[in-house]
Amino acid sequence: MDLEPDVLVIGGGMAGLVAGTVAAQDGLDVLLIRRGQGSTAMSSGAIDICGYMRGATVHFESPIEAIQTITRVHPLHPYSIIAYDEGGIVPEKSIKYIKDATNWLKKQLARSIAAIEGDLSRNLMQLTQIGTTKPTCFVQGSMVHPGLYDNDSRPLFVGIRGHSDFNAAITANTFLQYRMDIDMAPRIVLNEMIDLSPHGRHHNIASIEIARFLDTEEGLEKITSILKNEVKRTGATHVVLPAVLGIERAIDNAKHLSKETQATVFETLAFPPSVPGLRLQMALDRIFQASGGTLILGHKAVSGVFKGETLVEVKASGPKRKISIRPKAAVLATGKFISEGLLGSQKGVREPLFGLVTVTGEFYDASEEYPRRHTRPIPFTNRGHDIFQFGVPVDENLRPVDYNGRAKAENLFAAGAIIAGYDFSSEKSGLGVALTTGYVAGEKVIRNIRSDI
Amino acid sequence: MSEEEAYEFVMNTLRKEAIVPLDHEEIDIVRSIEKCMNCGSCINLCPVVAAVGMDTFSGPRSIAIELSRSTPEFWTSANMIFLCTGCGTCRENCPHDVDIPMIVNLLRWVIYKQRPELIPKQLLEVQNRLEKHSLAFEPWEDIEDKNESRDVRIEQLGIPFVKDRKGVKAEVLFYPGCQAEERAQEVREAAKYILVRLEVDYCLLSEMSCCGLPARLSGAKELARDLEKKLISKIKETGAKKIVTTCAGCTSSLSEIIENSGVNVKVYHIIEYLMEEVDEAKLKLLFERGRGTSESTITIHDPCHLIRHTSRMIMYYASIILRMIPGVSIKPSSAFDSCCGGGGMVGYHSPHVASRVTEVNVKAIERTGAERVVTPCPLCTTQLENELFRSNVVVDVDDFTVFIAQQIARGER
Amino acid sequence: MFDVVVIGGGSTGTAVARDCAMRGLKTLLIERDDIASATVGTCAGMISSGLKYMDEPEIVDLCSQEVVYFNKIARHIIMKNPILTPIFGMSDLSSGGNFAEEYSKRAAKRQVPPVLFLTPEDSLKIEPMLNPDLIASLYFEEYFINPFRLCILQAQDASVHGAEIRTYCEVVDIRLSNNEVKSVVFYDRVSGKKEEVSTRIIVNATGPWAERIAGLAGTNVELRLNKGAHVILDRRVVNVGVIAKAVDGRMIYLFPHESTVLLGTTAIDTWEDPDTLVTSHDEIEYLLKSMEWVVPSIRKARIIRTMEGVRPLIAEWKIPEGEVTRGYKIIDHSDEGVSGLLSFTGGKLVMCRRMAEDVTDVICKKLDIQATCETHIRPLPGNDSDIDVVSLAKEYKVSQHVVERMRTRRGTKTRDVLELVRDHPEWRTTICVCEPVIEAEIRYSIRNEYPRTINDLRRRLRVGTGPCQGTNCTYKIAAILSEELNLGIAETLIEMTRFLSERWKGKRPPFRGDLLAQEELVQAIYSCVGNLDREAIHEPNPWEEGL
Ligand SMILES: Cc1cc2nc3c(=O)[nH]c(=O)nc-3n(C[C@H](O)[C@H](O)[C@H](O)COP(=O)(O)OP(=O)(O)OC[C@H]3O[C@@H](n4cnc5c(N)ncnc54)[C@H](O)[C@@H]3O)c2cc1C
Ligand SMILES: Cc1cc2nc3c(=O)[nH]c(=O)nc-3n(C[C@H](O)[C@H](O)[C@H](O)COP(=O)(O)OP(=O)(O)OC[C@H]3O[C@@H](n4cnc5c(N)ncnc54)[C@H](O)[C@@H]3O)c2cc1C
Ligand code: SF4
Ligand code: SF4
Repeated sequence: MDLEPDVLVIGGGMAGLVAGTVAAQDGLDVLLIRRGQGSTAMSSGAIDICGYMRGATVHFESPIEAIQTITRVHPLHPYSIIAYDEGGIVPEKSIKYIKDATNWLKKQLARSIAAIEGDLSRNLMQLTQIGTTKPTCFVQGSMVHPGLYDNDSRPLFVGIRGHSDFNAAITANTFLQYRMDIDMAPRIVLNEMIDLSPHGRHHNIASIEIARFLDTEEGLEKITSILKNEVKRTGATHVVLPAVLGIERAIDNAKHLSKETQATVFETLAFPPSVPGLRLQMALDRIFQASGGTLILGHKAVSGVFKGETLVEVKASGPKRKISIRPKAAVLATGKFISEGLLGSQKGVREPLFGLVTVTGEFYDASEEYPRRHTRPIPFTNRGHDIFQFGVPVDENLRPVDYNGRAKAENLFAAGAIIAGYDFSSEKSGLGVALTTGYVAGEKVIRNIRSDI
Repeated sequence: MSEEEAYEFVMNTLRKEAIVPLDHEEIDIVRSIEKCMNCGSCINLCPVVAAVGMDTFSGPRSIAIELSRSTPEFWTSANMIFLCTGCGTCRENCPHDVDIPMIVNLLRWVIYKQRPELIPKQLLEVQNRLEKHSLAFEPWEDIEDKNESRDVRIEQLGIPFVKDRKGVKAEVLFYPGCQAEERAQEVREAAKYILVRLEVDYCLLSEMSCCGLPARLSGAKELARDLEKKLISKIKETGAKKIVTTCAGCTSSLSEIIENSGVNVKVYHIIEYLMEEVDEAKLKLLFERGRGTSESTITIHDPCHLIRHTSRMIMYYASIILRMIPGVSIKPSSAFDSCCGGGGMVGYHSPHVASRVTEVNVKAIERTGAERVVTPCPLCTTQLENELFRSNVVVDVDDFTVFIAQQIARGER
Repeated sequence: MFDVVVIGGGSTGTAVARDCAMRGLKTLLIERDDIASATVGTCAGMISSGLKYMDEPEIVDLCSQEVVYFNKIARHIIMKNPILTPIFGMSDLSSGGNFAEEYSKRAAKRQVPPVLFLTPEDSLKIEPMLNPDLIASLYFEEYFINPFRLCILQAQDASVHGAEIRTYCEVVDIRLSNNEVKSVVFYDRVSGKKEEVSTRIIVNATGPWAERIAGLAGTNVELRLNKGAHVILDRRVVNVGVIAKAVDGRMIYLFPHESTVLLGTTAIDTWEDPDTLVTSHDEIEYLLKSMEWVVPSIRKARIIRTMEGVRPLIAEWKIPEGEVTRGYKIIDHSDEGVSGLLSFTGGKLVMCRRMAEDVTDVICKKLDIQATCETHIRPLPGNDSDIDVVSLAKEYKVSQHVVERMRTRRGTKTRDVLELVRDHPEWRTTICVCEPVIEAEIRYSIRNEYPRTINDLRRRLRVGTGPCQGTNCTYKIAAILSEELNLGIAETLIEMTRFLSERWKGKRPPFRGDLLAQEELVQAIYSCVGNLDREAIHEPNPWEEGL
């Protein structure tokens, strides 16, 4: 059976699902295939828009400020590309897209298991699993911590015995140190280890186990009574937990616990295996499907057939079956190296699915650039490694282009981490770029199908 | 030392050092696992980790990045590796396609060579049966009893009996698999009935022979190969160009062995056959004839061996087919594609683990309020039936094939 | 006042400290970094019969004898290494003949078979990854020893016998009086203080740095420094070891080793500061290209990292590296007018005990002490008996694989570690998944084996050495280390980036394939989420400086 959807989305992270949902909500028949989870499911629970300029040590106060700077300094950054208008970059256009995309997402995610809070006017300084803070724009509802940075806050960091991802004592001290460095230390920072063993053991406990446990009444009751006591005993104003408050119920649980303990109970940003990342992935999957999209997991797109300047067919393979899809338009959202949207050998970087042109951070041909040469001897610097800016170059319609800057196909669009020209780790811009380009690609696809751009 | 002696000597040293020399194909399997980057995404989704916790079953990530790295140490995984149900959830979600179920079979095989005493004895029993009868179950002693049991079952379900077509050549071979052959006979009968009603030129094997999956899953690689070979030659005898099966495990397993053997035969689960080879109008007509005879609210369970070992498209087809049936309304379960716990031979030696895995399904099925669960696999059917019963949840479980046959039969009356 | 100050905590230095202490000498070992942090930590750990030096029969004898001793005193950290040398043509065979004979002569003593000849079919059954064009193969057996554990155990045994071990102390001066060594001045890198200790004898066991140390005493040592690099591949992708001829006719090897495969090694004369060396692109390609002829699929294997070291060879010039003697020399500097200073040149890991025996004999003679060497008879800690992994795992409710890995490091001492979980059940938690290592062993090691950094723990426990190279465990170990050693917070964060930097050192040269995804993940965790790229900038390491 051949599949002939209006839109084929290849890749189901933030970028692909957003593009697919936007198109599906416009009434198009959208098929999304994905071979596995990618970076989106590993993300920490925060949606970064842009925290830093590459090379800068001071963070941006607000994403708006960031976009204004980036569109000026990096004309080929995805945030700049979408701002092209009549040959020039119009920063307001980019800001408008980002506003639309984030407002849209916020609305979509509202009441989902990954509802987000925050706004574009400022970057939040969000507490991470190791006690450091990072600038980000939106966080999941179970992660907000009003008043944490007030002088009279008394945060209590709570770890769970046998859950090695989170060391409450060290995390608490890291937080304290950071606040002291900027002369804004709370008077007291507390930490405690509690027993919460989902399977009757106090060792080798994964975040996900605790999250599942807290989704049950039994789990919630248990943690509520423990935290109530702890807060009473210590007089804490905030309770800081690793990101384990639930899969389905994390936000409700955080609210419930805050109400019961009279302290603000919240989660830190997580490292993988990340529960909030999973929540985001699941929420996006559900929204896409609720919008009428068809999600086929476990299928990998393996090749494409182009006729002239049109992509006519994509072949995909499942574990033991092959399928052929003939869409009207397609969105490529296969991610970067983690998701294998890009592959690197010692001699260069390529895009394995369609053999698209790949470029370096400076937009030179990347097919024969030794990856090593685009790294620095020191792994962590404020400039990041150039190799992580590698990707597929796109035109202002987000269509991958060839060496001449012409679109490879009029009906093929790209979104997310596969796009060249930004380094999400260094800039703290990952999900923001994925969301925005996904949103824009969704709109472009609609226009492509409805009115042939 | 002669060359043979030299070889013997070397093999002896390797044995002492617990080095089980892997062959090319096996090393390639080990190789395919190398792509693991320890992201842990799979830990979040593995149903066994969810059921018993990461301490009891350290999970797919640990299988990929820890337990499968050094062959001489494979035996140490014996306290973990037999708990994997082989559901493939990890592989389906892994960003790098790390094929955990494959490596699990390999680890089990190597343990078999290194420390057979660490293998759960129930698996050895299955292997014995397979060796003796080429069947995963002890065959009925008395064929009369078998037939009687069959008749009772189909009578209850309202499926007309049609005679077996054995020893003939035909375009289509219907392969029921061990479960439907020896235990869930109604599935086998239902499939035959459907094929006849659709006027398909089909036959059965002269004698049922296991596809080898249970052997492979329990670590008996050589036995699995023998069974595969035996089956392939039996298939060749029939001259069939297409094989239709009703079992999820058989679908994925046959697809694999047929592909490896190079025989020019196409494997279908009956769902695929109905979708791809049968005229939609014909099928609809058969369903339509039964309109008004029955109403039911169902929920669907997707078997791992279909969705994660063959293709998700099959269940996409299944829902299209089920929607054609008048009077059927579908209530999706939130755990529709969650492993039922019946796979990987886990139930044989650790039934408590298997039941804990099924709990998720049971709860979700109960929440749907559906009257029955429909699933295209006799193994899933049994596992779900048992666990629903145990949890006092009154929901019927029907094999997909039986469900379809019933509808067609109603139209006939 | 010490009888002996041993400078250098590699295989040689720790062996010397052990021997001296066992013979009752008041001994101090000073190491500028960690035990086994330099050359010995980059070697393959082969305690070979000396197959490469068939032209030096006395060395082959010596090595063979040492293997016998190691098998007696340290069998828990030893593994057998079965090796195939495939033969593709007559030229391969002729060079094999002499070797086979010399090897076989000593085989029985080491309890290994003589060199065996295998047919191509049998060879391929044993090692299917070989190029099927082979016409035969030679089979023989060697042993590996865990070089890190050997050094740690030697150091620990030395302290049991009264020696003092000072790590992170760099010798900065040697003071003489009347041309006789009087004292050693060293800088304690942890406390930041200089100290001076007086001693009667100094043993310069600083491997490639021997020239520098001799210089401090105003005398000299000449070495031929030779760089060697390995490529480390993930998991055992060959069943047995393989030896092959490289592009330039040298012999290289592919050895299964712990949970990895080692591909090595190169040999390049070097005059660089050993601390700044990293493996070059050429070295990696040289090794891959050479092995590709014999194991055609090798290039597809996942590279974990590279590692490099410097061989402190005896200074013989104008001959290829391979022809330089593998023997060692003890230089008594009294011949040049500085008495009390003894330096080593040359040598190998496999000879370290013997080198120590020789130098201690010299020392005893100088100090006029009657004591005989017992280092070959008295076992190293943990060697006592076999242990039953399955039942220990059950008893302490720890995974079998964890216990098995522990056993290969600790032998009978495994139980000491496991005892910790009685009071702290949560320490059963696996911290490094790849290897795997549980919290109890990390705590035990910090308390008993004097590590200061995660990298030190890596040497002792193999944490962070798997394919993920610390992606998942670095922050967890940093927290444990911080608790145990009471590190400041800034230091704890920097400890994370420092360890990941050290890992990056080996990942960057072969940067390709899966390493790209792995590093993207590291950056995502530690920069994107952890913000350490802005919050924890470490002092550049020597190999990172100036770039
Ligand atoms: C550990 C980690 C933490 C992070 N934390 C944050 C954070 O806190 N905040 C933030 O803003 N950003 C964060 N990021 C960055 C952010 O997650 C990514 O930049 C973003 O998710 C990229 O989205 P994407 O949709 O482009 O790609 P991905 O999410 O990687 O999705 C790519 C998809 O394509 C699929 N695919 C690939 N090839 C094929 C094929 N051939 N056929 C079918 N499907 C295919 C993959 O399976 C995958 O589903 C983090 C990243 C990581 C790795
Ligand atoms: C790539 C390679 C592979 C090898 N493979 C093998 C093999 O398989 N088998 C084998 O037997 N041999 C092998 N060798 C040789 C073997 O590793 C070395 O000969 C041996 O380990 C040297 O040990 P060492 O203790 O003398 O030197 P090192 O290990 O270098 O120890 C010297 C120590 O002195 C310390 N030091 C230096 N300066 C000072 C100072 N100022 N103050 C205090 N301390 C100081 C250093 O920090 C260092 O720890 C190999 C060598 C290389 C390079
Ligand atoms: S097997 Fe796949 S999903 Fe699991 S940890 Fe490894 S790379 Fe991640
Ligand atoms: S196959 Fe299923 S049970 Fe086995 S490890 Fe993977 S997810 Fe877990």
